[in-house]
Amino acid sequence: MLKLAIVKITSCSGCINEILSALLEDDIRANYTLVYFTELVDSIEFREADLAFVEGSVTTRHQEEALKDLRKRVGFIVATGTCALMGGVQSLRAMGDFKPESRGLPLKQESSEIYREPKPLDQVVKVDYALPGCPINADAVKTFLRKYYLGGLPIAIYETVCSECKRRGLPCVLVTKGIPCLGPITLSGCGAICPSFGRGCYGCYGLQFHGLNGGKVLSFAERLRELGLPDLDYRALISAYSYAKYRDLLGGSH
Amino acid sequence: MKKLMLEFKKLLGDPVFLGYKRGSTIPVFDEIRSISELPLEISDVQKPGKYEIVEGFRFRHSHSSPKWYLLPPEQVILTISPSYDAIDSGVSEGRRAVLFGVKPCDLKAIAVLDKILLDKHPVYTAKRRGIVGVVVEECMEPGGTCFCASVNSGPIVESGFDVAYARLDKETLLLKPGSDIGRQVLKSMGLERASSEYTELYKQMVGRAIDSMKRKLPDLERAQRALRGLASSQEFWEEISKKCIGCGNCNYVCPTCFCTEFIDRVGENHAERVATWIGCLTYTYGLVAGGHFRKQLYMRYRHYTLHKFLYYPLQTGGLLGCVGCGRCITWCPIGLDLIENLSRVLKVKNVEA
Amino acid sequence: MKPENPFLLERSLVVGVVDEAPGVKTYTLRLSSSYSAEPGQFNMIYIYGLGEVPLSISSPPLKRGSFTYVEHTARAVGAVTGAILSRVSTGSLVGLRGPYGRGWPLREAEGRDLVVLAGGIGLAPLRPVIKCVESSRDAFGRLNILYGARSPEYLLYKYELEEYARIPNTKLLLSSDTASPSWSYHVGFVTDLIEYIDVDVGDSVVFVCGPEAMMRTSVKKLLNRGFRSDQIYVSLERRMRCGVGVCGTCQLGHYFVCRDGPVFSISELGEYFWIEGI
Repeated sequence: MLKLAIVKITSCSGCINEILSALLEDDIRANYTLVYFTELVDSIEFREADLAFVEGSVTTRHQEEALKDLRKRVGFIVATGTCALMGGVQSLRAMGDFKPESRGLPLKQESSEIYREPKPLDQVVKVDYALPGCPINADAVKTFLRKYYLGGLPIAIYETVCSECKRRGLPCVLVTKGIPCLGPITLSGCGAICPSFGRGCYGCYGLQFHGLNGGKVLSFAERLRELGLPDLDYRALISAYSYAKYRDLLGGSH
Repeated sequence: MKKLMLEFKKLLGDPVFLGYKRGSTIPVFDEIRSISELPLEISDVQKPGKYEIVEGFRFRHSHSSPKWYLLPPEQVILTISPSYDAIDSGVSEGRRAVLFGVKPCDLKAIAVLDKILLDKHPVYTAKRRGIVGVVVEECMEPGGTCFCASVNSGPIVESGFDVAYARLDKETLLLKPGSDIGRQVLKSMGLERASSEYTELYKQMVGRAIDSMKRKLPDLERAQRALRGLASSQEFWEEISKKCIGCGNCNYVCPTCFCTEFIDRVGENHAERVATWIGCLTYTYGLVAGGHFRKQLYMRYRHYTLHKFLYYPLQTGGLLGCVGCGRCITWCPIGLDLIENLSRVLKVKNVEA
Repeated sequence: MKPENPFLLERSLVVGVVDEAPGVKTYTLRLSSSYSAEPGQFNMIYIYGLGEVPLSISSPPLKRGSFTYVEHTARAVGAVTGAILSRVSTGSLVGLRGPYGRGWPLREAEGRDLVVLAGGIGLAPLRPVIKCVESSRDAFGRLNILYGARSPEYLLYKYELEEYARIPNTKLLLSSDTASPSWSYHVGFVTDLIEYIDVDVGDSVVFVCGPEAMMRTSVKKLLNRGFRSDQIYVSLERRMRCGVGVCGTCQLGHYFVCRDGPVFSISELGEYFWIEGI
């Protein structure tokens, strides 16, 4: 029986729902026991776990310290969701004029305690595995938990949403309808949900950054502009979920 | 057209018909159950990164191709138990099928895939062996990104089919047999021999089609020589792939791209091995545990290009991996133009004609 | 007609495990007696639910009774090899299909001198070569074995390595990238040993296996020493999924490494060997 912890930092619990859905499978439930989960298990502390899903991005100094402590007590950390991988949608605040006080955040805290730019987990602790998605996909969690129990991991496949879209035989919304779609630069895993409903991908699985550089992202942005998307919108669109990667490739964009 | 289908049905014992099928959006390669499903009253408009269906009678193709049937995007190749017993070998006999209304480029692509996969890949082999008839629609007006004539795979066919037809206009069909079955089918249809007026018109249309495409890539062998000379130039490939984002769309829509990755799905009490299309433009291609043999995107772009024009001929006994269908150009979200890139190859590398 | 499925697996029992080096073990697998393989070929090893890895065969298949036994030396680098090292032990089952590929051209080496040059885990596919030469010693000329690792503890087959020197007419040269108190052989790269090769350069063949960078350096030095490119053979690693030349992921130029290789002569590879990422 492997000990499992579900840890939540700045996030929406959407990924946690998917994890819980995976934990309902009989074979998975038989092999894992939940030792920590603030929303379900009474214990507020735990000594150690084999495996922890950490949902969310790091947005306060307190979270950063808690994570460093967690790392010492957990054998394997899974960065869960696009927030944990690339900052997530809350990173949009890094592009605006962020003043914690004006947002009703605790005034007692020093504002330096709250990060202007949310950090992906790997900027704070060593991450052993990552599940992208906003939210992640329960099937991916099941696959991961089953393979982890067998002593392995899913083999890394780095593809874009287009790969899933094309394998499903869907007509490309960008090419056939001129709809701005982030599929070509977004990590796969969702099964091309949005294009299957005839709308463009908005990048919730995060930037497929391997092989990309600033120039390539801009050339794609140029294409979106041709399709009628204003400059500010494409920046917001591309960086909405993946701000940390976007900034790596293009520098801060304010 | 209806008659043609019926005769094939009669002669070949009720096979399945496979072709481009009209749907709610754009036609895809699928089973055709009635003549009304054929895309006879539409045209496609294709440009780099742009595809549109309009009224007309010149449908060439879509992102889809016979590859969708012969080498499906996902193929379960084995189902296995935790004690390593095969539960299902994953390979079944292919259905008896007639390819109906495929294009010359499609036919050439199948010939290419045959050289790589036939009698080696079980799923492809089963389906391919089930093909009992081939009806080709020759292309009297090539699409906006087509260049089959430049790579010797169209716009008309000379072998490897049973019946080929050309639509001289919306109503007039000119048919030719390509096999004994084809001759039998045409005979039972009781068709008239075409007058010279029609055959002349056919020749003229074919000539115009060839001219329009040849202009795009006038000298293939020169381009191949230039590519050979540029294989080691990192600078050149970085420059030419500058806008490529490695999304892999060109791979998936290419009718000859055959690369697959094996994915292992694990369920409650069995596991599946699934062969899944993979694109050589994507980061996974060349990745191994502990290293990467094509880490940079320019390397993968180079492999894609050199494979199509230099390596396939060595792997297939002379067939190019590019059939000139233009899908990679149309379906590239950036609109990168392979032909334009090949012209750049010639500019950079001055090789003699 | 239903075609045969080349991806079916033979269930195979693990009958022995030996620790070789940190993260490296050798497994003995029991197979049906009809199994046979040539030195330099590989098997695809499947671990339930996790996937397959190509592993070179590191011993000549041994027929005993109604079974054949083969060895595989595996290093934990990825998801599947990691599971092998952490979970597979004596008594475990694994799935196996093979052998695949074109191995070392031993026939070409017959009557000539032979140099075996290996770095790190690269000795695994060459060990059957050494064993084959040993068992038909008269068929070959002089044998030179050059083998090195980053430190002595990373050398494979330590329990038999020094015995190679006792094979008649054989020279064994070992190296370690780093010095250690008990190490009496060369300290430096295995490619340094090339200058001590003692064979008839014009009438010999060289088999090289190791990391790609080590193989490139080796080949450069061997060419400088006067070996021709058609005398030098390397065994290549690539992403391999099918083993039979249909999945396309192992392509190198126009070759399918799984089927046309993994062993190639340098003259066959031509520029493919030198252009990074081609």
